[in-house]
Amino acid sequence: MEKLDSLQGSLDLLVLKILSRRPRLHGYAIMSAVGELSGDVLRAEEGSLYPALHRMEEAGVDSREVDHKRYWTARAYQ
Amino acid sequence: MSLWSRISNVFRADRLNHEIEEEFEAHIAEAIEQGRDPAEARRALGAAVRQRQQSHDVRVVGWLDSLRADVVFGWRQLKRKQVTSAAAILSLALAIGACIAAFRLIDALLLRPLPVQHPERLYVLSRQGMGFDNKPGEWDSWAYPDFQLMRAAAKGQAELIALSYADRSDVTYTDEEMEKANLQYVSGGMFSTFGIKPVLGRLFSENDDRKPGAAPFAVLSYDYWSRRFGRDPHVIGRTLHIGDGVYEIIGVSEKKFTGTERGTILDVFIPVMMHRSVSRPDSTPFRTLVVLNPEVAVGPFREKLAAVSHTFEVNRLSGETGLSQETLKNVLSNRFLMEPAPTGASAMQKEYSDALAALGGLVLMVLMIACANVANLMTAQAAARAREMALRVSIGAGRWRLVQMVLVESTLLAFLAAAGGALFAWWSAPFVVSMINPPDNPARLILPADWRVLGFGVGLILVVVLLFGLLPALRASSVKPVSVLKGGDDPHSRQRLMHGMIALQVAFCFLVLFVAGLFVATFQRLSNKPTGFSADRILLLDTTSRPAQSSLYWDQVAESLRAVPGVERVSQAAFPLLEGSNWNSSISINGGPPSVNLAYLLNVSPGWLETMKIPLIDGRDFRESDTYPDAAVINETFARIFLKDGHPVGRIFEKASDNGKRQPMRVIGVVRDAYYSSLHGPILPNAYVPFHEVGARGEMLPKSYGTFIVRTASSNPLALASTLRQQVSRARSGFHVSNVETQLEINQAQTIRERLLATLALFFGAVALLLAGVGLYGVLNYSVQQREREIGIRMALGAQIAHVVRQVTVGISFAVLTGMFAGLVCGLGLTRYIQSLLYEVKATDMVMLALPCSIILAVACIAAVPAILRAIQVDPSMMLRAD
Repeated sequence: MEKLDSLQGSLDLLVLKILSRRPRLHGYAIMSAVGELSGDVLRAEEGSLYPALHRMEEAGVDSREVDHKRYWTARAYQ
Repeated sequence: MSLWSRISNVFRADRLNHEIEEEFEAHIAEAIEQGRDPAEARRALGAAVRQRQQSHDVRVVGWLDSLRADVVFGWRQLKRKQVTSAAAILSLALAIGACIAAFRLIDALLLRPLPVQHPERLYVLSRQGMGFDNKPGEWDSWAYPDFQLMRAAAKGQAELIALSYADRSDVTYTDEEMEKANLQYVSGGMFSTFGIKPVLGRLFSENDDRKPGAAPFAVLSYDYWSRRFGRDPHVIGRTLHIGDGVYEIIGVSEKKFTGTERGTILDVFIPVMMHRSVSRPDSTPFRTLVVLNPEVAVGPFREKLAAVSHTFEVNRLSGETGLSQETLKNVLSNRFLMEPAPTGASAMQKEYSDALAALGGLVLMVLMIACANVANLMTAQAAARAREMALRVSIGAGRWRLVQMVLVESTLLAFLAAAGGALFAWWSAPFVVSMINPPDNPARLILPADWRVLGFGVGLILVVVLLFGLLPALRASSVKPVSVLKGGDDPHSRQRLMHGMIALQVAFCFLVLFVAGLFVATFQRLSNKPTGFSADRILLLDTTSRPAQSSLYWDQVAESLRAVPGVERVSQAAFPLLEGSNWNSSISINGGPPSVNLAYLLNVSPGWLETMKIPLIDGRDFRESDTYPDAAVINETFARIFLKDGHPVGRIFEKASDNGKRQPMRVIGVVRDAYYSSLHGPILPNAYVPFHEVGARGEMLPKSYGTFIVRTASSNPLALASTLRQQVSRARSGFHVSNVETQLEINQAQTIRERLLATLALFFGAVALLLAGVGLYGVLNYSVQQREREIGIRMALGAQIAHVVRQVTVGISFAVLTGMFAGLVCGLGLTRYIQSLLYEVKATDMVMLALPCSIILAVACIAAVPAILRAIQVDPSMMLRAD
């Protein structure tokens, strides 16, 4: 359980880090960036990115839907 | 994500899921664009359902979401069983509505504080003990001179307010027709002490309390100002005639203040100084309210006022020779009471508090019956859903989650019922008030629907949900999947709960029927009681003459009424019988001391006895030449009490006046007993005396009021009302009919409270019986349904039909009998609380107890028929083949 939490925590951090450098990314782009940065560690299930993104909507990430595609931005960099 | 959007997301679940779905699709599309294999991309995305659920969960408020799901699910459950749900909702709605209506009435009359400053510091003064009529009682009436002394003694500790009893009086505005208004004389300090402000002009002040007759002013209530004058600001300065007085309207009081008498809405306030008895120590027309200063202790303050008042009474009665020594001693030893009166003081509160409490009790019992019904319904449904529950538990539902699910369904039911109940209460509370309608003076009670009523309603829903929902919910949630799958380990435990509920229902049903029976019997005994006179076709014209005119002129008016077509007879009296008026006096026989018992007198014209059809049994009726105080016609009770030795006709008795003067009267006739002012008490010793009254020098005295008693030819005497009313005014100037009513209306007004109680109790009795019957039917039917297989097996093995029927009904019969016994014991214990509402009816009367028993047994038998038929129609071969 603890391992999973730390994994999740690092995913959140990673996503924030990626979004702080490059605002307005869609899900797949974030996923690709996560893959590049972490190797295969967090690649196990690509879909698990989305619950994480939705959870982070509460604390520092905004989303905007354009043309049936949702773009994500860290709040401080809007 | 903000809390608000998470709350709003709860109610847009479909769109939310759609959005998440779209995001996944975009992800896959992007992956394919990047040259990945579609199948591989989908695989890499992982379990979409789980992720969607996770995404969904973080974007909504969890508990609200599950609540929403439960509400939707509960609603579907209710809709699925429309008939049973509708029955449950209707019966609950009726019970909840009746409860809310009863609360509205009780709150409006007895609980809600007056809208004045510091209602919690308001007290009313009264005396308790033996009265001048030698009967025990409690009186809150005071003489103004006594009030003045007490007010002076209370200075610095409390403010005292004197108020006359609200009176429906004749008022006339310049050049307009005479009309009625609720009038009250109040001491000048009332408005400022209560913190009531004018909306127009000024209100009274202490300056209006200085000198009798010196403050000819009137203040209108907001309600009256709106109703009568359409809120015309020019009403200030208009004049108003009341009796012989002329008053100037100086102001309009605040909207919230409608007087201190609940049940009457005041129209016009007049300074107490304008009351004709304001200087008389021997007349007690005023209530006294006390507004106590915060730090003053009640006990010592009351003793101080009691001492002042006692001294006043001792002084006043020291020269009294018209009353017996025993009466004087009794009156002087009355207890002085000072009781909290945050809701004011009114006759309606006194008369209806017990009745409303009894109704409240009945209504609560009906609510219990309805709750027990719904609880049984829920239990039966839970049984049917045991497998569903077991499945939920097996896949990991927590116990509280299941309790919540069932409770939400119950709450939904209760809320739907409460909505219906609110409608019922909205209609029924004013309807009950409108049943309290003495002729010409119907009760008016403001029935606000505010946070108090709302709070009560919400509280009631919670209680109701707990009452009928919690037990079945706990039971349903405690399923053990294994035992359910095996077929249940104790199939009878559920039935025990249901039978308990049935016993409860029967007990309450018995109580409601028992109390209803007592009320109906009371009403019947009172209204079937022979009054001693005939009210048939009698029309009464309460008439005033301004200025007072000689009774010879009254005779002229009566003569002119006799000429009106359709009139059979016309007589006159000071006031009608049973209207509530009293004129009493001590009697002295052979120069002896004044009697302890009082005699009740009434001035009547010659022919009055015949008009009222009171039979003469000895002597003669009055002639035109008979005058008061020379002659009297007495009733049998008078003869029995005061003239027991010997033949009454020709004998002389003396009426003892307060000033020591004795007026001798010769008995010229004896008539049969008739009720005088009230049907509730015993027959009073009556002396009828002539309508013509002569003064000390033999001159005919003028009269300012009287009643023409008209026997009409047609069976509807009111048809002649307007003709006769006009004829009185036409016959002689100054005469005016202030009120027209039939004797029948007056007689019926004697039993208004009893009729109200009997009608409502009968209604609730029928509802209780219906609900209990439906409940019994439901449970019996359910238990047969549950045991069809067992019955089939028994019958296949050769069981007799009688045996099967006994098997099916024995448990429930036991429950019914237990409930009935419990109800009987409670009923006997409870009756002392409603004793004051009963008349000549004993709770221990066998009929009163046997009637509800037999009704319940009959209903139980009828309710059992369908279930028994179902049981004996069970086809063993079908049952054995089933499952």
